[in-house]
Amino acid sequence: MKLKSLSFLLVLLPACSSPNPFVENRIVLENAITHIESGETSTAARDLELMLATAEGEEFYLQRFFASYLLTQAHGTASVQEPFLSEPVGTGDRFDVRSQSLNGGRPSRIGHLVAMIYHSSHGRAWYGRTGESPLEWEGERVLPAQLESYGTENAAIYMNLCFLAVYSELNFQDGIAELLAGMGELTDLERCEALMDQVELEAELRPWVYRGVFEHQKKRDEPNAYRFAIRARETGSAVEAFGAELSAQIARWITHDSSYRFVSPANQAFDPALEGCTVTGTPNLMYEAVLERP
Amino acid sequence: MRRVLGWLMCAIGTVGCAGSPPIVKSDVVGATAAFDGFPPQALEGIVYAQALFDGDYEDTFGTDLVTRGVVPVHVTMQLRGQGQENAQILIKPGRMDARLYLIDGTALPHVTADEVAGALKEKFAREVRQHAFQGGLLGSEPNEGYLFFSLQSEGEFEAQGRAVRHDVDGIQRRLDLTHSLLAFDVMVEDTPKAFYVGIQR
Repeated sequence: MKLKSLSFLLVLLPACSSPNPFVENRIVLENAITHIESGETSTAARDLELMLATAEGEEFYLQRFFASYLLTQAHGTASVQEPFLSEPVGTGDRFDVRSQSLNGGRPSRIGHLVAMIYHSSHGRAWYGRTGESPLEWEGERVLPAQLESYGTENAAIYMNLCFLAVYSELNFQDGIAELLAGMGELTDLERCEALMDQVELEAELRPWVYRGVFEHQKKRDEPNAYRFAIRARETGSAVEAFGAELSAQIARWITHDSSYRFVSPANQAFDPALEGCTVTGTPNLMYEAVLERP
Repeated sequence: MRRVLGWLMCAIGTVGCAGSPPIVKSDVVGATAAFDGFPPQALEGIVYAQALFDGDYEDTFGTDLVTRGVVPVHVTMQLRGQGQENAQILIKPGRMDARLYLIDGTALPHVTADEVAGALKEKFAREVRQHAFQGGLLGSEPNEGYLFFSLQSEGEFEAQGRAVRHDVDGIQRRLDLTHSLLAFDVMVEDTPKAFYVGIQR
């Protein structure tokens, strides 16, 4: 018998006469998936955190990793659907300059973004150790079938993309550069989109990924930045992720700040009000970059 | 080739291949550097901001504010870059909608220096008022001081050095204060700009 299996056996000996802890945790994971799908994100988050509080030890790394993945997803879903975290209340003279009113108690989207970083950073840390956990115990699979088929690699990619999306929304350009230094393939638009599809990243988070890569690329590779800018604007308006100001800012870079002019085959320049060339029907994404000034 | 690689991964027993399309190896999966806090500086237009959780804050105030339920965050703001000479940007701590998000997403409310001082002995209260962030018209010189956030409005907290233990729904979370996120708004040319700044240790 391998030493590793022996250590699991020793750890779990006391549990032999009691319910299989892996099965109990698997049920929590299964229920969390259902809760997230039905929008009950606070229930999912609470149950997953309770599971994390009890499932300690290296034999549980795999289940803990997926609990972190689901917690990241729960907070991401809550941030765009129905936040269950709130802004502070009863805070004296706190004042919202946007609404020109006191704003305590309103739902906190930013709180959920921060919580996504909290849980995804745990998952990112545990990813390397998931191989130390068993896939099966006493004839029972330790993961729900959905998570087994999804896979640890996809879950890790998902959490890294969430990290990038949150940093993009919070405007941490330096942080994005550090992240992309380790995830270079995201600067390839087709590859980036394939990965987002592969891990089923939520539509509401995708504009922020595009925007993050756009901001990173505009100082490095302007024609490439243009393609991410177009996708950011398209997807951002489709899911109403961006305000008009951010969309206009991106368009302004294309029309004024870039060293390139982006034109259709009919030499029609990019127009933020249009989806493509009115002559050839070429979509904005396919426009060519023509160097205007070095 | 990618397909072959994917099936090869299935064959060597990678979790997650049963019944799923082959997964292409990605370098995105490997980016797992430990989280060490949000970036502690922000530059929006010409407004620069920086935040710090000063380990010596007890020396500054003469008392441990965190154990008294108040988190002091040292903030520096100034103008940087073209146009700073003519800019008129006024900061008032009570009107910047400052919040401190603990890393679990809990938002702590801003409390004024007077509110903090009101609960302290006079000698400590004087230090709190003296070192508080006063705001004012921003310029090229740093405008700095402490903003204060209350730990007493949400759930149960217990100070543990540079961390707090947050009890919520029967779950205990140990949260590093330097992993928090400071958020506030600044009016720039009549438009509110949101600032998000990590906390330097």
